[in-house]
Amino acid sequence: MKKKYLVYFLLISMLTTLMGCSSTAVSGKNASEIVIASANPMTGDSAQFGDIKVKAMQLAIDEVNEKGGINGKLIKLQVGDDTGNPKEAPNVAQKLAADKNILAIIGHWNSSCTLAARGIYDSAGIPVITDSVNKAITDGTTPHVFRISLTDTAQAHYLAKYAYGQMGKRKAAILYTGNDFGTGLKNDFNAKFTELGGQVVAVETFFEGQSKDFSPQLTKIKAQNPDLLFIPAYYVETALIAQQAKAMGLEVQMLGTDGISSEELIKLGGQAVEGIRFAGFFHPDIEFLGTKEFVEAFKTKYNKEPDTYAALAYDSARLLLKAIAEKGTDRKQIKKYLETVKDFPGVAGPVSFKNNDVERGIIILTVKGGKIVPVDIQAE
Amino acid sequence: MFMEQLSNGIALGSIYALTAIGFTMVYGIIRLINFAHGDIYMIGAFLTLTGITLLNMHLVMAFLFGMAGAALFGILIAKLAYSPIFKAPRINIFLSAIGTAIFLENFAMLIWGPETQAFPDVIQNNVYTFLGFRASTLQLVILGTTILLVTVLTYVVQYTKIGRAMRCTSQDMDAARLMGINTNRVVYITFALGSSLGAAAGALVGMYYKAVFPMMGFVPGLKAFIAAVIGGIGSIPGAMLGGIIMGVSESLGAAYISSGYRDAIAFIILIAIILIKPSGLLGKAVKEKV
Repeated sequence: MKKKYLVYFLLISMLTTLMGCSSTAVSGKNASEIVIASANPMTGDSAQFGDIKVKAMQLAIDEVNEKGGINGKLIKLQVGDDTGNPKEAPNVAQKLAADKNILAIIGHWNSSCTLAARGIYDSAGIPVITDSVNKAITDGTTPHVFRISLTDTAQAHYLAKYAYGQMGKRKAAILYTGNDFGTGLKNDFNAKFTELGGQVVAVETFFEGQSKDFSPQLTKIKAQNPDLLFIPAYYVETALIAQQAKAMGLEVQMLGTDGISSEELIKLGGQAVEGIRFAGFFHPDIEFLGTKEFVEAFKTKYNKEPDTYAALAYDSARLLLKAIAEKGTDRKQIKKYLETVKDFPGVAGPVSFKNNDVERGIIILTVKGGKIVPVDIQAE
Repeated sequence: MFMEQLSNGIALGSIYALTAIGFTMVYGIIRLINFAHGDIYMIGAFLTLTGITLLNMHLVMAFLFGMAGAALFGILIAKLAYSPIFKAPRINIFLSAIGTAIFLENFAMLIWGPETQAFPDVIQNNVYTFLGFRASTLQLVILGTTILLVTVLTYVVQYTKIGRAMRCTSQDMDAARLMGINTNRVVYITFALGSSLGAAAGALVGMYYKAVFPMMGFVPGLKAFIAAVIGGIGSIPGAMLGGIIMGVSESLGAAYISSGYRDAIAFIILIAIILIKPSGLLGKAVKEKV
C-alpha cells in the first residue's frame, strides 16, 4: 500500500506541472495568405485574457480582410496557447517561430511567459509585441520584443506618486500576486512610496490560481490599520480580496493596477469593488482617433465591452498590419518599421517605441455606480 | 488575532472537508483515486449557476439540479472512462481519471467560456461573532452541510443494505459478485453519490467565493486528496478531520510564518503525518494481498 501511494504521489507532482498543457499550431502553408500569430493563454487560469485579446486581434484583421486584405492577400491569425504557464510558453514560441509563414507575434500576456519565451523569438528574428509589464522584458537583450503597455516600474511610480500626492495616503499595505507581474510592481511601488515619505506597513502575498481564500492575509493587514491597500493582482483575485475584506470589516481605500482594468471586475466584485481606484491604459471615454469606432465594432461583434487588453491587442494587430502593408512580408522589415514608427494612431493613444518600450501615461479609473469611469483628479 | 485566524482556518478547512468527502468515499469503495473529482465539483458549480441564472430556479432546486446533473456526469464517466479498463492495473484507471479531468476542464470552457463567472448573491450573508470567533452565514452553512453529509454518509455506508454491498465490494469485488451482489450497480451508485457530493461542495464554494470558472476544481481536487490522505483515505470522518487540519494549518501558517508558504505548509503536514502514520489519522492499515 505504501509503495502505491508513493507512485501515485510522484505521478501527481508530475502531472500538476503537465496538466492542461496543450497547444494548437497548425500552419497554413498557403502563399496567398499573410499569417500573424497570437501566443496567449487560451486555456488554463488566465484563458479569459487570451480570449479577449484574440477577439480584438481578429477584429482588426477582419477589418483589413473586408477591404480585400493587403495586396490581394488575406490575413490569417494563427492562435497558439501558452496556457498561462511559463513552462509551456517556450514550446509555443518554438513552434510559432519555426513556422516561416508567420511574420510576427502578439503575446504573451503573462509576464512570466514572455520572459520565458522572448529569447526564442529573438534568436528566430521574429518581431513580437507584448502587453506584459515586467521591466526585464525590454532590458535590451531581446531587440525583437516590443512592449505596448507601460513597464511595471513606470506604472508603480505613477501609482505611488498618485497615492502619496493626490490621494494623500501615508500608510500603505500591499497584497500582491506572487509572480513576475505582482513581484515587480510590489518592489517598485514599495521603493517609490517609501522614498516619497510614506510607510509600507504590511506586505503579503498569494499565488495566482492556487487559493481563493485571502482571509489570513487580510486579517494580518487589518491588524496594521493601513490607510491604503495596494493590490498588484488580476481582477478575479482582486474582486475576491475586496469582497473578503468587506466581509471582515476592513474598510480601506484600495488601489489596483492595469491587471484589474476590466468590466469583469465589477461583475465579480459587485458592491465590494465600488470606489476602488486603478490604473488603465484605455477607457472608452478617453477618446483618441478611432476609439469610438473600435468600441462600437467590438460591442457589435462580441456583445461585450473591450478592456485595456483588448484595446492594446487591437492596436498591436493594426500596427503589424500597417507594417506589413508598408514594408512587405518580411520579419526584418517589420521590426524596422516598429523601431521607427512615430505616433501611430492607436485607440489607446499614439504609439511610438523608444528602446522597445512605448511611451504613454496612465489613466486613473474607479468604479462608480457599477461602472468604470475615469476619476476627476488624474495622475501627473 | 489568533482567534480570528483560527476561525478563518476552520472556515477554509470545512470547504476542504466538504470536497474531500466524495473523493474519499469513491476511494473507500472502489480503490480509485478519482482525479476527476475536482472537475465534477466544477461541473456541479456550473450546473447550479446555470440553474439559477438561466433556468430561474429556486436556490434549493438549483442546488439539487447541480447535484443530480453531476451524478449523471459521474455515471457517464464511470461508464465511458473507467468501466472499460476496470480489470486493468490500477495505474491505467488513474491515468484515465486524469484524462477525464482535462476533458472536463476544456468541456466546461467550451460550454460556459473560459472567464470567471459571478455567482449571484443568493444568501444574505451576515457575520456572527462569538468569543472572538467570527463566522458568516455561508461559512456556517458549509460547516453544517459538511457535518450533515458526513453523518448521513457514515450511516449509509455502515447501516444500510446498499452500504453493506459497498463495503463488500470494496473488500473483494469478485467474492462480492459470487455472493450475489450486483457489483456494477454498486460501482455506479458509488460514483453517482460521490459526484453529487462533489457537486454540492462546488456549488457551495461557488456561492461562498461568488466565483465559478472552469479551472476552479483543480487545486481543490489536489487539496481534497491531501485532506483525505491525512485523515486516512477511505475514511469519511477522516476526510472531515483532515480538511479541518489543513485549513487551520494553512491559515495559521500564513499568519505566523509567511503567506507565501501556505501551500507548502499543507504539504509538509501531509508528509509528516504519512511518515508517522502511513494509513492516515483515522485510516485502517490494510494488509496488501500477495
